[in-house]
Amino acid sequence: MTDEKTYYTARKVLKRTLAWTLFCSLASLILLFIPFNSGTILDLVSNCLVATKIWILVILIQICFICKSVTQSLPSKQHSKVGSLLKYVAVFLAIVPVFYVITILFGAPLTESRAETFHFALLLSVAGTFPGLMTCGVNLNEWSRIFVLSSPENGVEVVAYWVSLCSIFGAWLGAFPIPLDWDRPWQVWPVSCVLGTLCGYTIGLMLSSVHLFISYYKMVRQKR
Amino acid sequence: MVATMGFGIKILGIICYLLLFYIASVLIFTKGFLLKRVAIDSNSSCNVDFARTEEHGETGGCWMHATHQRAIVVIIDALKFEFMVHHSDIMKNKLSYINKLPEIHNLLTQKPKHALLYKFIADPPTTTLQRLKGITTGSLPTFVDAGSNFGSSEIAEDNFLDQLIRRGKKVKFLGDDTWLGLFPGRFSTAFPFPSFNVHDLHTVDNGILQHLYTELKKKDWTLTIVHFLGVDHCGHRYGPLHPAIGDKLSQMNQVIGNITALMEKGTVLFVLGDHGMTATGDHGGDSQDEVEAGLFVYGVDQITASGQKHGDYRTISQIDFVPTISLLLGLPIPFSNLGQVVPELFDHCSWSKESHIKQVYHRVQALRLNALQISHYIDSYMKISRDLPEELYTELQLSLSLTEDDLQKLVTKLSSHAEVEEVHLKFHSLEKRYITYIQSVQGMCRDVWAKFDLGAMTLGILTLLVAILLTVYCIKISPLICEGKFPGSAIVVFITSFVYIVHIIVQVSFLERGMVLFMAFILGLVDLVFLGITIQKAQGDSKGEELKNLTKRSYFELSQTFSFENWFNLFVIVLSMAGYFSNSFVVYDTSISVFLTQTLILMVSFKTVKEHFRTVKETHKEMHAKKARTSNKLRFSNIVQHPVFLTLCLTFFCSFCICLTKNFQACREEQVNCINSRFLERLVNLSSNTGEKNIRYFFSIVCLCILVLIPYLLLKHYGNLNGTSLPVLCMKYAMPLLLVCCALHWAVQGLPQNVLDSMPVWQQIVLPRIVHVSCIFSLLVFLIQPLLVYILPQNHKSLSLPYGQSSEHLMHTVYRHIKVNWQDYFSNSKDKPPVVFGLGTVYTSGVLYIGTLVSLLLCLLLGDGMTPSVLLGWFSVMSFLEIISIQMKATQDARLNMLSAVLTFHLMTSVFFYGTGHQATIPSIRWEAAFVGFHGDFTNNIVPAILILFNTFAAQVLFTVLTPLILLWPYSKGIFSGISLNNKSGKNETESEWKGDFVLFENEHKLKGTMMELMMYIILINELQVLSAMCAASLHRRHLMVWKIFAPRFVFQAVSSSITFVTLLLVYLLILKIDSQLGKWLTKLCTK
Ligand SMILES: [Zn+2]
Ligand SMILES: [Zn+2]
Repeated sequence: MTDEKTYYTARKVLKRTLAWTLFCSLASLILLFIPFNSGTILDLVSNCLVATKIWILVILIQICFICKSVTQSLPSKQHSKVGSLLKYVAVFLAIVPVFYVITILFGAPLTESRAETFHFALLLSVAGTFPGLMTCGVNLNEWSRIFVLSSPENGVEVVAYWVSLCSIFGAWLGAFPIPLDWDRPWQVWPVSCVLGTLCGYTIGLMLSSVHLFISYYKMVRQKR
Repeated sequence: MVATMGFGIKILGIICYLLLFYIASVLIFTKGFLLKRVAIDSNSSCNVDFARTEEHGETGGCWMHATHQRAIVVIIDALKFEFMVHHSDIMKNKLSYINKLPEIHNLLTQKPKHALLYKFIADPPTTTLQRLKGITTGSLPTFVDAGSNFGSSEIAEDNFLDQLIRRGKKVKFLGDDTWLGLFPGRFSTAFPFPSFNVHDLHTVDNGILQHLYTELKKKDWTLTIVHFLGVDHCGHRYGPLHPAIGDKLSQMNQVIGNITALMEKGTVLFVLGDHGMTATGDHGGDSQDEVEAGLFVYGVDQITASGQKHGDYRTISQIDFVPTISLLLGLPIPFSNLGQVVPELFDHCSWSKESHIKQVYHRVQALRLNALQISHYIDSYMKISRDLPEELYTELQLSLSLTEDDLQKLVTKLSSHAEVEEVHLKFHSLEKRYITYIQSVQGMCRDVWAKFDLGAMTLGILTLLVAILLTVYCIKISPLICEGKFPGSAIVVFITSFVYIVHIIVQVSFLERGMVLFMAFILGLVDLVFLGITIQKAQGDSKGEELKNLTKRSYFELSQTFSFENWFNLFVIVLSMAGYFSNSFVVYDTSISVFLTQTLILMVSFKTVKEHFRTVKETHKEMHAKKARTSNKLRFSNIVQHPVFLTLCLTFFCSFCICLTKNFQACREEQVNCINSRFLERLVNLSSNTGEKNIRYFFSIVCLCILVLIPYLLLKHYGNLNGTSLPVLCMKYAMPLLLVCCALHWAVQGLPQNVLDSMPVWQQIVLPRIVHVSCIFSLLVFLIQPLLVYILPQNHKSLSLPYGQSSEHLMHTVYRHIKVNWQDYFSNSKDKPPVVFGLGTVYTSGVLYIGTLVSLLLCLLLGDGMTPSVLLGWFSVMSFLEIISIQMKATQDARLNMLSAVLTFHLMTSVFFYGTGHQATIPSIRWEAAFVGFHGDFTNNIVPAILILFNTFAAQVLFTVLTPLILLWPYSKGIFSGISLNNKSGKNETESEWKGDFVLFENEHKLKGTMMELMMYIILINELQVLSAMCAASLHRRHLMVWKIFAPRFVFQAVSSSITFVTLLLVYLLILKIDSQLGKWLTKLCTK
């Protein structure tokens, strides 16, 4: 009987995460491509800094929603809220400079456009580590299990895994158009990298929904 | 022992065989791609047998009488023919550049016999420098003008400026300072202006105009050259359609008007463009827009008898300008000219005024002189080079001599008053024959010097592809070779590829093209297919072997060849190869190589962390089974010694070092907003007032000391520096001496130039000479005695070894008797068997020793500014090796992912190529390296060539020398990886004694097998890079930037790979030497 129950809770969790992930990926897809080159406040090319800030917020909200949807259905997994929040913030504050330094090491300008580099680092740490932070907190073993050994369990961990991986990879790929001599406005640092991160983030959400869908499908078939 | 020697030599043979393929492919491709021509230094003189001046008895003139006493050459950069010609079409009037030079049109219509306009076709590359060479020497452009002084851009070939100056005439110059580089010290008066800033439209032109008219009025010149840049800069900045072009052209129009108004009798004016511009305003390539410049000729006196129909403008080549202006001014035609005189300009003179026949004869005279000069040039060219087709050449010379004979007959006829009409027609036919001769020679030379040989290029690429597949095959069979077996398929592979290479070499060097070339293609393709199949099979073979041998290994390790990491490495290789096809990626390769290197370093360290966590997970399982307690207390020492922490720190350090190389980079012309590194500045040029000079100097010295200290301390730590053998003494005493000499040499170089010049020559070169000599000496000493080991003499105890055992067993026995760790020396208990210091690092110490020597030498050649960069190179190599060692310790089966290590090393090499102040362009070669330890008067070119190569490819040499450490370092217990090992598995340490890289000696084939795999990977990656550079160069052979970007990139890549291969081979020989010496040493020890 308990087996039955755990199965159904797992299935419910999976279903919810899947739904939220799909919704979020669609939302970010729309948000990413409709204002592109429109000149409005969401346009990355003309308002890079503001748009990055907005995107950071969007990602925070989306990830929170996806994780919340799961924790609500799992009342047993409660954390002490204030303490964990403080921890998260501390870890997060430590991660941003790390990304900043890595960006510089990879060739970002050291003295010029520091604000842009900082925003990019902020975005990268939000898209690349915040999902992980939400799922495994500050537990190093969990981190190593999901990200280093790449074996996430179903649910939010899948989302965290794919989103982080794809965001970082997207940011990496985003650097390639910069040296080309096309003279496009989006080739200016850090627009293409921010764009790459966001595309990677969106693709990560999509991939995780595909992953979730496949495991859901398998689960349903196994039951039969 | 003999068997292993033979084995090592077999591998050497394979590598040489692969290198043969590589060299053949590069040479064949180069033959088809790089256009070359030998520059001849001879000058034309007045006294030649074919020209006489007494004929007309006029004043001035050498081969022919001068029709003009003065010439003004106005070069308007990028003056397209379109800009000069008058359009009556009103619709076209809307374009900004149309009809902006009415002065030319007015002169053409008002004085048709005083003014002529031509379409002036440039030979690509249409860059100003190359064009100026063509306009002054009359020769065709090539990539390598293999002249005698290749250091500067000074023109070595004969040209009309030098002819003028040689005859005591004065040349004035105003404008683009490129001319001063081409003709240093030739001008009596010069007003040069910098040409570099494309955004500045007016400085050059206004600067010229400030002086132009006063200088022209002075009359103290025979030739005045004026070079305006405004139009070209306008084009680069705004394109030809922008109104700014119109304004600029109007200004030029005014200039032409003013000059013509100032001109006096006997003066001729040439207004010409050096090249055209494309629709975007650029130039450099060979499209019609770029090639079509214009030439306008105007004389105060009548310059032609035949005139020109309006709107019917002839097309002439730019090199035609050279013989024309030479003969007009009464000069000999420059020796290497290939241009043809413009006949119309030679039919009017005081002598030929009235009769048409005389006019035609005058034209024929000019053409004849021209033809004979060209024939003379081709004759002497054939003597030094066999580039030109011999049959065609003899045919042409024959036709010329026939024409000569006919002319002689005609001239005698003329004096005997034959029928006028017939003679007239004959002259016209002779004129045509001379023109045909000149144009056929031109065509022949153009074919040889300026056409790509697509067949050879394809053949080169094909050969390289075969070489790459062979390399892949060797990588695939290297696991078998590790076990001492040669698979049967190898024989077949080598036979087929041998047939191919022999065929190719014979075909290219002895046979003419045609059917055989086709055969070569077919053979190459068959070889490709065959090799592909064999590789597939070999992969299956080695997999099968592995499956049989390694039953213990988990499935994961087997699938390692297709792991994510390898896919990612392949992706990076493909990316870096694809970069060769994009001009901006080649230009910004400096940043891209840093980016990719950082990525790979991160990937390697991620892999290390991953391996650590996997092992931790596995041990955790075991521990849970044993129910042992786990202590997870966070202690400071625990954290510091934790492998993950160490890995992260090392990664950061390595990345940081790579990042710091940015401070040492040079700029190439195409990079915008780039500032040359201060470290590239010579020490003399730094100001001593601000202290910059002293700071730079002492900083370099400190770096040099650290550079020597690192390997010294390492060797000391491993116990390799005991005893009094010669290499040890060299390391202890010669190196500091080298260091001091180096430092003193830099100090001498830092003296002010006048002090330096007043010093005797020997004082300037003695210090670097000491370094050269003692480097060579230390190297020789090491080659004689390559083992840095020391047996502590213990007289009462000797080895007693049983005889008659198999050699393998013997080694183990010996080993058991030999204590390596030198700490044992201090725990001095008397029962101990003999102590051998440094046996655990025999191989490593050798590599470190050679590495130190090489890097000292490189520092000397690179100059004091680049020493910190070499130190950074050592730092990053060392930290990377430490990361690898930690990774090897984490993966318990101790299999290294060779591809990622080699790839990272390779990318680091290119980072440090740029990081030592080089760029893949010809102008960035640092010629001053040829004078380190020499004073310039070389009898041959070999020594300076070697020094310059060492300077340019310092990174390649250094990193290749250190390459074997990838294999050796994990065995020799590095500093940090040693700590982490102690922390993690303390009990392992006591279980199996630390043997260091001596393990590699015990296992007969392992060293050579893994060494072979390592070298094959390096060769493979280099070959792939050369392949993509080749493909990019041939794909973009008609690209605007081919001579500025793609061709130099190919040349640099090919040379850098060759240097890498040669160094690799030498290093491998060194390892073999150490190996054999070690064998001898051990047998000697055992038989004692
Ligand atoms: Zn030009
Ligand atoms: Zn130009």
